[in-house]
Amino acid sequence: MLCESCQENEGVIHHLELTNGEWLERLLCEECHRKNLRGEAAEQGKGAFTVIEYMGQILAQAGGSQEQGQPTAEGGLVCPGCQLSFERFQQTKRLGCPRCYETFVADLEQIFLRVQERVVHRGKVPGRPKTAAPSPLEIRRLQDNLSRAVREERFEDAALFRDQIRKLSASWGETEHEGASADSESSETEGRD
Amino acid sequence: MTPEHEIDEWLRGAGPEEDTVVCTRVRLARNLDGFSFSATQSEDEAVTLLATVRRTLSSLAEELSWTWVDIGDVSELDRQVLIERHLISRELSEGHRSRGVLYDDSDGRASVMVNEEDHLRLQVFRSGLRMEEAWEVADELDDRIASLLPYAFSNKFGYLTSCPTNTGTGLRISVLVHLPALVTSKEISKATNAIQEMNMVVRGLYGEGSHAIGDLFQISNQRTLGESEEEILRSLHSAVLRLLDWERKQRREFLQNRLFVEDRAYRALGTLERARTLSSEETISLLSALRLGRILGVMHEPSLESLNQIFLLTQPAHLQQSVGRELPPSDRDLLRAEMVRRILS
Repeated sequence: MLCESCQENEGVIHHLELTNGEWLERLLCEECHRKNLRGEAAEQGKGAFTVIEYMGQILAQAGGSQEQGQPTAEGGLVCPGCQLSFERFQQTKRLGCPRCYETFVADLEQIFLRVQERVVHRGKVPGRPKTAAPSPLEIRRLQDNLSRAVREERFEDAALFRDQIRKLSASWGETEHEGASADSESSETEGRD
Repeated sequence: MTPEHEIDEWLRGAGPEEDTVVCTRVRLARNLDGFSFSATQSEDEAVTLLATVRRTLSSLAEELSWTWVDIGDVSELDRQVLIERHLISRELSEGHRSRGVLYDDSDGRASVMVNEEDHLRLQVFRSGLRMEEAWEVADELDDRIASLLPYAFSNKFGYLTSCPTNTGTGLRISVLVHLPALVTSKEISKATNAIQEMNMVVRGLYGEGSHAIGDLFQISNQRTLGESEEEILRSLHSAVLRLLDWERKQRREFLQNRLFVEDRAYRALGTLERARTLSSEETISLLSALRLGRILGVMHEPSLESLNQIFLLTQPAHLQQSVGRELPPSDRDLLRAEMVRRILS
């Protein structure tokens, strides 16, 4: 299909644009897509005020309605990793954990397209660390799994999760993780939902 | 913390393009996998993270002879001094959760802030325009840390950061430039617009939203995603060079009227040498005129290094640290004038 703007090149990008508070989608070629982004940015006053404010404007109009996250009672999107809601992300313009990048992926891609004009990383990639660091989120996830397994009377699974928690906890050292450490006996009975 | 450190690397006043560039800073934003980011982090997690980072990086810190400071343990004044040395940010200083900084106290060439907006913020400073060197040092430091701690990273989005404006490389390079001729000739807004067109950010000395005291501006890359570190370096470098050419062209025009530059510089020197009270803003703007006169060769004293020394040591926290107590602003202005006279004599 031809680009809906210049009608000359092939349209390759689904360009989203805010028009009177509504998202308008058009199929554009790379060049028109870039031109539009620049025009939009200039119109929004990028430069005159900060990138963060510009991002705030995009966020204010965005949906947060993808399927990756868990909807709240009010129907908004919530990150299963850290319980950050989309509303809170809109307010603070800060993400809550690495998993937020999966939960809010569609909105983030729109932000990246407008603010960064790029979506895919092309820079350096870290080497793997030799030793694993403590991971409260991982522990929390395992604790959740453990409680669920106990509730559902899947005791073999429960034992597996308990061992994993113990192993992780042991590799963290004895002192630092008391708050986050898994007292697996009590977790088994109480759980934490 | 040493009370009387040497002048920090970033203010040494020597380096490529030193007539226009004060210093270069490279900053990397990094987060640890498996921990919540600052927006959702509990105090328990903050404590665990701080302890883990401190313990894991202890041998590296020892090898580099870096100092660890638990921000919660130091006085307000000591925190302000670290801010004025640019080793920590205002945000780190004012945070409520457990947080710390690991830094090179000898000459302030680098620091790692822990539990700022991102779990780790690596910073490397160099005087003059030395982006490549600063990047190489930061890159190596980053590799060393990555071999000890697991970073939050995705193949698609790169280094995952708290704010989407840092995602990707997490790299922000800032160059602090002195543009008195562009400011005086009122070409500055044209120049900064051109730089913004090139996708770079222009800010005043004290960051976002601050106006340009002392004709000092920070130029930094806006984009962090979808370009390699080398590409970011290259495009910022060419934007900065363009700006410097512009400034130098204006300076040459200024020199057609040598008397004007000379008059301004000597008036500034006169005030600095004789004044009995000096506010920090007045000091910085007088230093700007003096610096221009010195660089354009209309005067041969004082040295750029002593101008930089005045710049650093007469900031409020450094002044108060020199007498070991807090002072009201009026007393600071008296002390500042005295210190300036001492350095210049």
